[in-house]
Amino acid sequence: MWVARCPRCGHAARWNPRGAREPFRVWARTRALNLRLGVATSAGQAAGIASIAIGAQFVDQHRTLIHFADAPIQDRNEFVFMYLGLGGAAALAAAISAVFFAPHRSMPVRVFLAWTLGALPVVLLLTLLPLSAAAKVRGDVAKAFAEPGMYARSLQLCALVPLFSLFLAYPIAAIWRPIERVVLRRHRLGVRSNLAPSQATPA
Amino acid sequence: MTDELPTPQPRETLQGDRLCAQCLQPLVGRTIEREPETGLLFVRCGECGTASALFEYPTATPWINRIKAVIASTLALLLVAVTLGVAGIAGGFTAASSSIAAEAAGQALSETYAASSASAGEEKLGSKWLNSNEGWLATDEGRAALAGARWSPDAIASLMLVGALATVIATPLLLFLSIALSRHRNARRMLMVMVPSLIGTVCALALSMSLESARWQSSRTWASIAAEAHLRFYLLAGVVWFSCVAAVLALVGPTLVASIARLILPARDRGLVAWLWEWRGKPVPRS
Repeated sequence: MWVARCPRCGHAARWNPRGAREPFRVWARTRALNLRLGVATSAGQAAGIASIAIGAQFVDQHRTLIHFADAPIQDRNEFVFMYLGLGGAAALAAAISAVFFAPHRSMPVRVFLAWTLGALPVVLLLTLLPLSAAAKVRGDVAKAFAEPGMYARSLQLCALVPLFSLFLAYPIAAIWRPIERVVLRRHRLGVRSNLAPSQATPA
Repeated sequence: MTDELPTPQPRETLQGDRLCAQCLQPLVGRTIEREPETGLLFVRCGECGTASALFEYPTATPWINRIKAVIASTLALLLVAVTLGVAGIAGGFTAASSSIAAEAAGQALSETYAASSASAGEEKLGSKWLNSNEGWLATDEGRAALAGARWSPDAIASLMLVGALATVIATPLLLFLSIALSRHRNARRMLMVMVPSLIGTVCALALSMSLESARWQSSRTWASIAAEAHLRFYLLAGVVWFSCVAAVLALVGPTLVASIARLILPARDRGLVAWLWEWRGKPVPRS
């Protein structure tokens, strides 16, 4: 039994190390988890918003998308520039999300989680909102997708973004790992330096 | 000189409910002793002899219990808010989607009439905003057009898209309800999760029908004729859709959320949400 004694009056009481540490341990874990999942879902939502922008670009420039080889060079450049910009942003956001989502899982699972739990709800919500509210938007989308080859081409290009995010997630995780290690070590050292010697109870 | 024996002082005994930390024997009535070296007050278990200190630090337990009570009451309030939210979303979106679909059906009916009168070389007598042509509606062609307007692509698309949007919005709330009720058996949980959405949609049905019927009597536009013919069907479709969504999510919700928690959280952190498994009588997965 651990006994804590008051240095002034000598009053003694049983010291419960587990009881003393457990709330702080739960608090620290919850805080770390909240931070990690907060970053993961926020980045996933950013990927979702960028994906909606890609979808809007496809609908807006559907003729360039379907007849890419025959389109004027200016339209082609604009399309490629926009697609690479938005696709790159979506892939980067999804890769960052994947790095923070479930670090104990394999990278494909983490990328899957980033797209399904982070991006998909935002995509569904922000796509359905204008589609259900405005008949004009519905008409424009229906007209674009009525063109032959639109589904296949847009699906191909949309599928490339998660694939790219998977390849991007590996180097980002490799860069993040040592940074995380250093930050955590500094944090731990800082906490320990602020502890009184009496608080350093054995585990 | 007489040798007087000192009268034994009555020693205090433990009054409250307290269990031995070792063997869980109740310690009530045990004599309180003082440890000579530290002065620590303790009682010794009558069964196993383990000493249990009377003063223990940290004394956070009452505060932890108070925090737990605050969290529990907040969750209870949240549960009430979520229940009302589900009823509101289900009812509001059902009414909105049905109204939009009926409007689209009226538009389709008006377009069919316009096409029909143009092909017959007649002057157009009605439009969406003006009075409808009751004579044309009484013909076989008019009746067929009215029946076909129910399934017009715009009406069905409106109904499905607004319904899908409502489902996306209501899904987290329904999952919350299903998790809160995960101690109950499947059938009861399904029923309890379905009730708010059922109440909401049935209220929307009654309210929409009463409001719209007043409009049907005041004006006879294409939209009001389509609403009179099809609004009840669209509303009933909403009631059935939301009931099905609520039933399915009530059934699979706790398992789905536990699976997501298992995917996201490493084994050592699953203890934070151990109730996801314990409420269903299952062990917390360690792998």
